[in-house]
Amino acid sequence: MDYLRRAKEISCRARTNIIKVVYRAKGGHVGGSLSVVDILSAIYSVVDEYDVEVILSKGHCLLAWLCVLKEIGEVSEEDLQEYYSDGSKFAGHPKKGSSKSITWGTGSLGHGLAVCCGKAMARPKTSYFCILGDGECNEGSVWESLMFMAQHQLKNITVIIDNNRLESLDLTCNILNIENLEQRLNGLKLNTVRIDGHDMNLAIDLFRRRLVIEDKMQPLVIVADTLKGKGVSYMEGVPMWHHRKLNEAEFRMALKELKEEVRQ
Amino acid sequence: MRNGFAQRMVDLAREDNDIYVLVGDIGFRIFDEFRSLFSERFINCGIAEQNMIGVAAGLASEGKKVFVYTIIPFLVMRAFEQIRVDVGINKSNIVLVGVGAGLAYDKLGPTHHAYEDIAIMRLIPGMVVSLPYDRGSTVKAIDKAYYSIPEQSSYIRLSKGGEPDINKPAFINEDLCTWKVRDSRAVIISHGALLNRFANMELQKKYKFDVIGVVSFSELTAANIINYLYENKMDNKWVVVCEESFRCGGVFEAICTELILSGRTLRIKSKAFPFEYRYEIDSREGFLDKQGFNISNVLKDLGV
Repeated sequence: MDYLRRAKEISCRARTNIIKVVYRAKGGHVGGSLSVVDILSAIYSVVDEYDVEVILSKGHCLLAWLCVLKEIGEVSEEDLQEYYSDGSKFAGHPKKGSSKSITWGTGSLGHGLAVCCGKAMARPKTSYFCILGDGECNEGSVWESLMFMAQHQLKNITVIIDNNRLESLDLTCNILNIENLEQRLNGLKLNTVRIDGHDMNLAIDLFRRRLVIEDKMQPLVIVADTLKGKGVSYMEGVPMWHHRKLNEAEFRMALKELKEEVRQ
Repeated sequence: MRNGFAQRMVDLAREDNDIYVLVGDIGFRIFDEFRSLFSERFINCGIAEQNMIGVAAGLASEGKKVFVYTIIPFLVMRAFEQIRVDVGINKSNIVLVGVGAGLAYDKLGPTHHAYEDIAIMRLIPGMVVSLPYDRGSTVKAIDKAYYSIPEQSSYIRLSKGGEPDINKPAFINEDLCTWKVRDSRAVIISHGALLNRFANMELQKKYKFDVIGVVSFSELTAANIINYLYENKMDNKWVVVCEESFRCGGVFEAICTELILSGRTLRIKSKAFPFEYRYEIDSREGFLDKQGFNISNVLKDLGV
């Protein structure tokens, strides 16, 4: 199966949908959604036949998740259209049970990995993917959970840090610097790899190895270097696009850029 | 109380393979038997309470029955938001067992005292707050919490260890119990280990007062207490609510709110801790005496 092609298709459509939905709904965290969407696309291009649970600990990027779930047929076009409107199924953060894949409610940062550890202990045969943000790693509770995961060698957990290096107001390194992440994680005796978080080929390879091959002797942390706002030039690396509405001109410019990217 | 809890966990875990006990690196010796019999289901999560609650909620979401045990402030205050989000919002029900009610850890200082815990646990929708007063009532609280999973979470507030057993009360319902005498002049309402200062037949006969014990504190408790007092023609007596906590968010406030909402009246007073942190080094008993947590003082204050 051509996983990469599948992932690229998911990610292209999801990226465009993120822009469309944020423009229409006037809500949603656009910057982080664009940084994490390739990671989610890579995950969902390979997990089909496996027992997998995803926990989006950086829950504010729910929109990226929904747009990817739409591509695999789990979330309907109507539900995405209604995103953020009164009485709709989905809005700012994941609600437990709101979709088949959304098994845990997040939103407050620093919670997802602890819950994931509990789940992974209870169900050692299930593979867990837990997605954190780099800003989220400011939370002490994240490090409590990383220590716990290392201590108990919860080998069925793959942590992915969407390392877009930007928080809400500034660069992470100007707030509470977490680099160099590998050394910190290695210091916790955690097996760590750093990848380009937009290189889906690499991500797919890693995820497939975690699911298929016996490369699950220990927990793994993937530091995925990403770009906040990836795909829309005026958003890339600009803090204000953490959570901002688009005006019409911005919307048209973003769509144009994304279309060109598809062509290329 | 804590030994009663630990022993009961062994009994329950023998019958149920889904039971887990998580501790925050406390419980020296008391879990020895549990650990030796069920080492896979005993997790010392270390001094990392936020993670511990998340792990518990994760285990519970996969069908495990999880009891989490540590000292009260670290359990329900340090990890309050984890309890709110991962237990409350995500409806992943667990049992929180806190040790050190009120001033049980008297000389360890205010960081280890617990005057606010009942109030904050009452704020979590669906959380049952259990307030056992001796070993027997602790076992009952554990059983009730166990059988409430997965529908409800519980917070069980233990004192410490070595509390004397209190004579068996009569039960009004599963939340309330009474120790009554003839011709009483007043009613003391209390909970937890503080009850053993009041629920004593000899004392009750001498000073002519009844005692109501709140063993479980839910949304309905205040209405149940008022109904009981009215139905048993006790509403004309002085009622004093004695609590080993701040007044804020406790039983007295709950009863007063219910009285206002229901348009009924009682002659009611409160005996609770002064609203300040305690820095003086004093024993729990010494502090309770100085603050007048005994029947002669309480009645003197009422002028009866």
